[in-house]
Amino acid sequence: MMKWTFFHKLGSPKWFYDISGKWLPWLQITSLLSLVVALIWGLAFTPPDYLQGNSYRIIFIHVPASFLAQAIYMMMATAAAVLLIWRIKLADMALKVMAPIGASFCILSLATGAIWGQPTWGTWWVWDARLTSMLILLFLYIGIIALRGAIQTSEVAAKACAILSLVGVVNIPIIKYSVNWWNTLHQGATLKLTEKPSMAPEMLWPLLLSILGFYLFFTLVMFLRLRVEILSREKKTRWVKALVGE
Amino acid sequence: MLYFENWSEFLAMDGHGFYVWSAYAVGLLVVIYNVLSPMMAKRKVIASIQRQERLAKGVGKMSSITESSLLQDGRGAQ
Repeated sequence: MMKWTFFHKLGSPKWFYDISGKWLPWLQITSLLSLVVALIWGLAFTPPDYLQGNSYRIIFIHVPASFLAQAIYMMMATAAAVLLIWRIKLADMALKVMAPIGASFCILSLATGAIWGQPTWGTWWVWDARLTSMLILLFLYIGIIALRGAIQTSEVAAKACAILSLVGVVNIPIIKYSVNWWNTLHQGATLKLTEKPSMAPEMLWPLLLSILGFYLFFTLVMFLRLRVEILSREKKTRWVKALVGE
Repeated sequence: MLYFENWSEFLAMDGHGFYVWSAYAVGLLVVIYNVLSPMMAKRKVIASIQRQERLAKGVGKMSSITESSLLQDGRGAQ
């Protein structure tokens, strides 16, 4: 009995609006602090790479952006499953607001990769498995955003976006294993959960801190967008009218 | 320890300055987009809710006026 009321609360937009409001200042401070420290550390304090020189400093935004672009997609797919199974409308709102954030980090990953590719490989772009599968991820994000815009009925749009998000998950392992399955120009994974990192610790620590900062920043802007989406969809309710009317 | 000796070396990055700084500039743009976009959306949503509220109140007032005038008419007729 208790379990179900808890579950119901989790899906309540008002409950999320209240709780996320308390999180915002902490997310602002921690994301700003970790990003500023990590990026200054990576830009000015770490030694250059013995092979790539100073261009490798792009790694401190390229790797976190790429991680995030894939992680956000997995979160969207999770929200899609929650929506289809339990019909929680907060899941659809989350799915909707995460798509443009994911797309922006996917663009950042591709752009920084292209800029890094020029001095390292001598080219901005190659149709290599890793780069191509990442470009497909961007198309998936754009497809999900466009699909919602194209369908008038919001319930039909929610279902269609959820199904597309779930189908697109097949691309995520392809991105991850592309550097192992095919002979790619892109280098192998920098960080692996199962192995000791091959990176020198003075480069690894700012990278890990930057990844943390990117995740915190994503949580912050995702909360901001989700709160606006809640206000918009609940605008007929008494609590939103009371909140905005003040 | 700081790796670079001075600002100009820091900006030049041994010839890789253009690549490093343009990558970080794209990063900054993505950050700015993600911060500004929800702020502008929030302003828009709040304005639309307030507009609707004013409209609803206006309609409410009008209907109360007609009601009272109807009542008065009724009284007048009696």
